[in-house]
Amino acid sequence: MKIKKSTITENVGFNMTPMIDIVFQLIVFLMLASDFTNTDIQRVWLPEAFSAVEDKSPDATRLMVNVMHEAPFKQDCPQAKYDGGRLVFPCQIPEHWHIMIKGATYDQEKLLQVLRVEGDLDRERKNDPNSPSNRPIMIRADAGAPFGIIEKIMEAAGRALIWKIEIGATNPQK
Amino acid sequence: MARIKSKTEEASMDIPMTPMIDVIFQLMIFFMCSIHFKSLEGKLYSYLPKDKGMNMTVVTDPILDEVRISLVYNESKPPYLAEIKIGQQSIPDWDALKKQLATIWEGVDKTDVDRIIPFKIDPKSPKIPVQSIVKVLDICNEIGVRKVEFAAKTTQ
Repeated sequence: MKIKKSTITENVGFNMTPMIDIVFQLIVFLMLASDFTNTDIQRVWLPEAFSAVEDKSPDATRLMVNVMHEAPFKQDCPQAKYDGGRLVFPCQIPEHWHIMIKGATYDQEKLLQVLRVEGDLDRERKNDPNSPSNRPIMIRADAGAPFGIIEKIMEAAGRALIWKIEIGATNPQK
Repeated sequence: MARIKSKTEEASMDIPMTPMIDVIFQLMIFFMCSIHFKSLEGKLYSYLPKDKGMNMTVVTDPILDEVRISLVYNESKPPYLAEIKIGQQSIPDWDALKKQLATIWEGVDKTDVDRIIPFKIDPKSPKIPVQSIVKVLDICNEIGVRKVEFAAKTTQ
């Protein structure tokens, strides 16, 4: 008996669609993740102000100083209360407040050093550390942050002869 | 008798949905990530005076008047934790403060820009929350006052 030759051929081509999907997912994830790790902006609930102007075209050289609230070991704070981003009761525990620039925490001395270096980059009279600096900074403080911290930042800015200070605020929600 | 094969071998009309769903998801993720919503964040300008504070110059012609807005710490008044005073006069709330400051600002002589009296925010405690300070700054901006100063203790 003549055995019939098998004519069935298997399709050995790769299905590329799932692979491309996964690659795209990875690219999107990595793009977002890398952006978040190097951001100037920390998560804070900004104070509300009707007259706050939209921060449309910020100076690219502007230094962002964040004042954010975080309890040690990321525990819940017994004092701070917010409702939909609106301050209900502020935290009065000094250890819970941090001055942060690009994700790193600074005390007043270190902040002064950073501001002096920043200020030196744009002095009105070049190479004169005693002339005012036109480098702007933005204080992006949580609505509940105690003013004492802002005072420290302003004092450091004053010592570094930086005078262009902006205070982060948000328009009230209706 | 050979059975006549009925015409059942019709071409499959199923549309493969998987690639379409994939593409839609990709587009969704792309737009979700790239879309720029109207910016909710804003800023208030708070420029420091160049000739005061740490690098004082001698003031030959001092301005003796000022409008001092004091914020006295009071824990029973959340979220601002502050009692408001203009000079020695107590102000019941923020609306009253706005009215009072607007009245004062109307009476201010604005002919010489350099001699306009400053409005000074004086937080009596470092515990006063930023929201209170920004509120006063906001009110000053709203009524048109541009010369706002912060009172601070002198440090060595």
